Amino acid sequence: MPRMPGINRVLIIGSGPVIIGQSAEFDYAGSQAARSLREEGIYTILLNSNPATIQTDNEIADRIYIEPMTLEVVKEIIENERVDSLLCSMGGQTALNLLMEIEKSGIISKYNLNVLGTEPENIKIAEDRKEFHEKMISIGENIPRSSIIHSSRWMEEVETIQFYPFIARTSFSLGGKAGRIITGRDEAVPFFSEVFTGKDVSEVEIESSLLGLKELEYEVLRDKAGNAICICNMENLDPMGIHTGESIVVTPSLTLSDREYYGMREHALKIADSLNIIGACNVQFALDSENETFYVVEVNPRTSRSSALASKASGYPIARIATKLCIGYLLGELNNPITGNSSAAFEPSLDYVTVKIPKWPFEKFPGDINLGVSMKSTGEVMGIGRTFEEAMFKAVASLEEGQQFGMSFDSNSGDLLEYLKRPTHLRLRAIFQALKDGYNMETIATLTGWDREILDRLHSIITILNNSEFSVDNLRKLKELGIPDYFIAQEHSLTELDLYEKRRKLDLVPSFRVIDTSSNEFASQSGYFYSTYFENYDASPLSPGKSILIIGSGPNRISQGLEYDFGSVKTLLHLKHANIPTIMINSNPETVSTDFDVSGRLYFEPLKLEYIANIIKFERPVGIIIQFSGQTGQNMASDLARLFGKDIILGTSHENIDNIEDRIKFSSDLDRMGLPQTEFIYSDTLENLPEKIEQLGYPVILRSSFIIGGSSVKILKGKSELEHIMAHYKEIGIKGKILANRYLENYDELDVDFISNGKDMRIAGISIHIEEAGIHSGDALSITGPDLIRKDILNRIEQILHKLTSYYELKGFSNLQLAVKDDIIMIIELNARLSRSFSFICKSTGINWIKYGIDAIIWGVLPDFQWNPKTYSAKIPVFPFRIFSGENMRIGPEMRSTGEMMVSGKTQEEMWSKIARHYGMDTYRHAVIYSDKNVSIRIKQLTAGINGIEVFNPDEIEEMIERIEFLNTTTFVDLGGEINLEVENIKKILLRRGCPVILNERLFMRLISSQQVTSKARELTSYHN
Amino acid sequence: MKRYLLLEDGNVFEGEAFGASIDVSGELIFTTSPTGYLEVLTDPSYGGQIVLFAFPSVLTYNLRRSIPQSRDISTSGVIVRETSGLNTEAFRELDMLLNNSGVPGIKGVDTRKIIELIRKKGNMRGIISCTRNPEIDFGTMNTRDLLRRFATTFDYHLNNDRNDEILFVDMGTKKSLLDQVSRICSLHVVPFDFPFSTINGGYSGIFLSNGPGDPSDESLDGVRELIRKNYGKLPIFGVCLGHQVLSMALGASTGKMLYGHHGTNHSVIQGEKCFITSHNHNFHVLEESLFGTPLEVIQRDANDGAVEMVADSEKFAMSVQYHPEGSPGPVDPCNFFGEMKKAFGGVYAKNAWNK
Repeated sequence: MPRMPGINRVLIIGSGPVIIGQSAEFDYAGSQAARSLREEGIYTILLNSNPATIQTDNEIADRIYIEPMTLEVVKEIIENERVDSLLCSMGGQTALNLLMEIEKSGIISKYNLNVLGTEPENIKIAEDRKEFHEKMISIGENIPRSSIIHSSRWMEEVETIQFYPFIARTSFSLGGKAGRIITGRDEAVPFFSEVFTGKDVSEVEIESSLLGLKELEYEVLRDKAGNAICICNMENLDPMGIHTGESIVVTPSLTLSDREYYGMREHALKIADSLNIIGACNVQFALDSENETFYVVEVNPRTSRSSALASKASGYPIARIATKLCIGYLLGELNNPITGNSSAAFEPSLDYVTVKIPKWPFEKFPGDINLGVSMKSTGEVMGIGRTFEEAMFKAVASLEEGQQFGMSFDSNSGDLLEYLKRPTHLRLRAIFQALKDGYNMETIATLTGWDREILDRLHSIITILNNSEFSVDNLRKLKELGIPDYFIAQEHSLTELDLYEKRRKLDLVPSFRVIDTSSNEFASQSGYFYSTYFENYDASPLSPGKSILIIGSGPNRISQGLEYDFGSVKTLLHLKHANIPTIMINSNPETVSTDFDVSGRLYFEPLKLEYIANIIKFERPVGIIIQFSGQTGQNMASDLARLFGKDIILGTSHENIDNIEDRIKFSSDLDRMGLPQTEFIYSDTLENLPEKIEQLGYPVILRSSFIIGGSSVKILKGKSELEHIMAHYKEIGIKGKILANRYLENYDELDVDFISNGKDMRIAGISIHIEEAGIHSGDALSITGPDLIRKDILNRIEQILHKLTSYYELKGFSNLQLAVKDDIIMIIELNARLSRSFSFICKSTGINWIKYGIDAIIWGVLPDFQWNPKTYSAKIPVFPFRIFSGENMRIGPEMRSTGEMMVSGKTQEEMWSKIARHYGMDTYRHAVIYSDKNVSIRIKQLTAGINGIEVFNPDEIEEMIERIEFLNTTTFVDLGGEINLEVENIKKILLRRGCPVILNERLFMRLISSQQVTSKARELTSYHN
Repeated sequence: MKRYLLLEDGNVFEGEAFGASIDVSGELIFTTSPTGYLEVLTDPSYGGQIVLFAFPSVLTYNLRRSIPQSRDISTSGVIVRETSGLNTEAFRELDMLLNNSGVPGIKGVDTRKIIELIRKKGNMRGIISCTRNPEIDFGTMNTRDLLRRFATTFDYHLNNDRNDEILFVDMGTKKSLLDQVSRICSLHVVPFDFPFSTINGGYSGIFLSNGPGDPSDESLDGVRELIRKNYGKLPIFGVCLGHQVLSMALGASTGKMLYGHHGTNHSVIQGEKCFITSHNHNFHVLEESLFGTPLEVIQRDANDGAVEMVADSEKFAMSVQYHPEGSPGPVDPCNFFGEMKKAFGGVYAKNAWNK
């Protein structure tokens, strides 16, 4: 059966800003979908508000809308573009929620639209827990007991609950956000009391917790004739009770018997059938291995985070094939693109194991490190190995947690037994420590809920590790298990580099194997590789002396994410056009750069010296590009240069990278160049710090690194704050120098992105922070556009850039941060790599600056133009404060936002109108402002005569709460100085209700003073002409 | 302790020993099934073969959670990729079982390379040995010996409804297949070399089981004779070897494949429908040889087009090359047992008898 007729112009809806629970995996899914449709000659229109995405690029889709993801915008696009079909299953929960709104609004019938994939009716069943349970009961599936607690009668109902522990959650949960485990009545009462305080929650679904059972996932593809296959299954090593996004996950499952494996598979297909799924879905089970019973936990009726993992783990491009199924193809009609010569209707067979470990932002949000049914991780890594052991160690290495290796548990962190029992990011360490310390296996198994066989395997590793003799034989054994060099080196007081060279001499080197979806049963052209030890090679080097190798940015974390992958992918596409063979290395399964055919060859490996050096040694590329790997690549530059010669690093040299990274050297360089900078001091010890800061004068920005791999940036206004922070530093330990800069009060901060060829440079774009300097550039609302910067300032900036370019022979991408006030310009920071704002600049200017930057690196040529914007764009940060309830909701010099959205306008007024709408500050605004007394007087004066604005001070909190409850939804503006826990709490409740919260006075003032005009959703290119 | 795998083409692989310390030879087969290692190792169809697991970390659950397909290990040797240092409970259990069954194993060899050799050169015979210079030779396959070893040696009845029995010809059946068929009807289970001429009707159908060896071997001539005598009178169903013997009896021929299908992920196609099925066969029915027989191809393998299901238009005979009973592997609803139930229940008989 060929493709269905009437599908010619498809609107693909993306997932919006990166938030916890929704990240690069949907950029990957949407990009695959767009490519899959374009192959069929279908015209693709893409909506996503996130400018960092790769899918919002005209090499991926035909028409791009970077606009707020609202019903109104969708309507406008459908009319503008004569859309005939919608694809909403590739944009996570955001797109599905939008589909539900679209459906309700009647647009579908009005415009006679096809909804591709699973019908909205069935999505509703899968998403609504009550309907879902009824459906599952009707087809005879086991489900956990459940009940509904209503806001009106909860006090009576809570007394009748008979199944503790239970999970409480509201429907349409995103990353399980509202889910929580309640173990007894004493927890239930305060919980419901809190939940039902807000007026918007009318009921909460509670469900008998399957705590402690094994958690499994099956990734299913189904076509419209009802054919279904299971791409792979995934076993969560952590038992039920921890969100699957928070679990360590093995693919395929390791501890399931044949009966269990295929039993659940059969049920997964049956469930997909009952919901008439077309395309992809993910079915989760809880398995009681003792009596081989399993329960259906939930179904995601769309591609999910797990689909991305399953695609990268199995090699099967799920989103791409799912898209084909959505437009009418049958499984049996499609080819497996990996082998090219076998059918898409098959289930991949793996001859390797993959292990996924989440990456948590606890260094930024240390308040509550407990893991549970809500997601807290910002990203994940995957390790691939021929055995479980090798895969697991690669995943651990991929976390890039400095020299801290995930095998030892610091007893200062707390009681080991406690950390075995309590799920935190330290659990794997705790398990290793317990095995090393000879704890009873049963005890470890009982406390952790991990399978005995897995613990047995870990124990085998410990046995070999305990033989600490440094012999060739032993080294062989350790490398066979996949133990990373840096760990072995540490044990024997060597550097990673020493051990690498030693291994080379002993010829203990890995070979590279292919991921081919068939365990080598069929020949394949696959270019998807991983390393393993003491085996044969599946291929010879791609193109020695000609290829270019690109190092990716690893797991998504706060401050290093999607925007770097944008750089990698655009470079791969550009070099492909230029016929240069490309090799990609990355460890993040969510990314587009790890799609199997984006690069000439893909190595899925940890971004650590050892693994990268092994690949370079084998592939012998002409050069490597590290500018898209954030800090990861910068830190490795000098070691790579030492191993392979300085020319191996394309772009700015490693010496100059080090000179720029070393703040003290950088500062003296600036002095030498005669460039203005803020005064600073540094100290090697905590003891000297107060005196030195005293000399500098408060306020200061303090930067330091922790021993546990984190770092901290704080603004200190006075001595008492310093004393407070010093006590904290003594407790956790700090390493290296502590640096303090004079804090510039009420300066504007500018982000200058530029490209250069070692001699000359071109400005790609300048973004201006709305908030005063001192707010991290990732967390500031920044705008770009014509005439925002005074001509004379711009000229001076150019002079600074020229000086820096020739001094450091900058090649490729760089970013300079400046503080500007009246006629003063101060240099804050220079980075000789791609910056986070670069994708925003590319999207706002419509210029492929990545291409020009690469041309400058490789051929030394620069374009004959530079930044000359015709349109206005704003980058609006998005914060994860809803998730980290233990944290104060403030912004400052430490980055805490997870993602961003972009809005644009032909005029500044249009742009500001869109920003204002985002913050609920457009025509029908209501804003409640909280601030200190003196500020509140000023604000009252400034906002006098503006309707809907109410100002409260610390003495009026009670009245303020009353007012907020009356309004129910309102924009909340916190301009308070001191942290007030009651106000923090109000902000969080409002966030959960979906109310905008503004945290900065300058931003607020700009919003109320902006003139409201009618705005339009426009195709991206129409902003640029 | 070291152990070696020697291949007919001269390749030698060195690994770590487990299981029994004896030298064996056998045809080298790889399976891609990620689970069911005991199901595979006890499957009589793998009788006399050295089985290599493509999935590297296969020994991760206890034996008691498996469904043995016969009373003993049926393969002559086992090859796994697991690391040489592996020492888990599941592994120790298997080690002991192989020791007791006199079957040697090797771990820590480059299994992917061996698969590549098999894929390029076709199935080979191999030797597992404690030395590089074993005293045994590569040997040859003896179908009659294999059938004798794995088929029942005496006939017996299952389910006790003697008035409505089918004849179940055991050529080395998997336990799961026997169980599955016996759930549908009463069985008179007989060995492949049963004196079929003594049978005087009284059955509502004939079922031909799976088994080891070459389907064209003359030791199966008696079964073919039985089929020819009863075709058109009784519904005849078969699985795997049974499918091959049935097709041959009705005029088709079989051939040996380059390296066969062994795994639980093969898709078979029937019109718009596809099913994921469990495969274990080195031989197949040649499609062109079906011309002129009453049999038609109903399902083919999605990848190489191999004949996977045949039936005649009257529904007297139907057989599948794959294993609809799973164990290991899936049991997608491919309609085989459903049709069998109807046929043995006499649903199709009326048309046939009227003819």
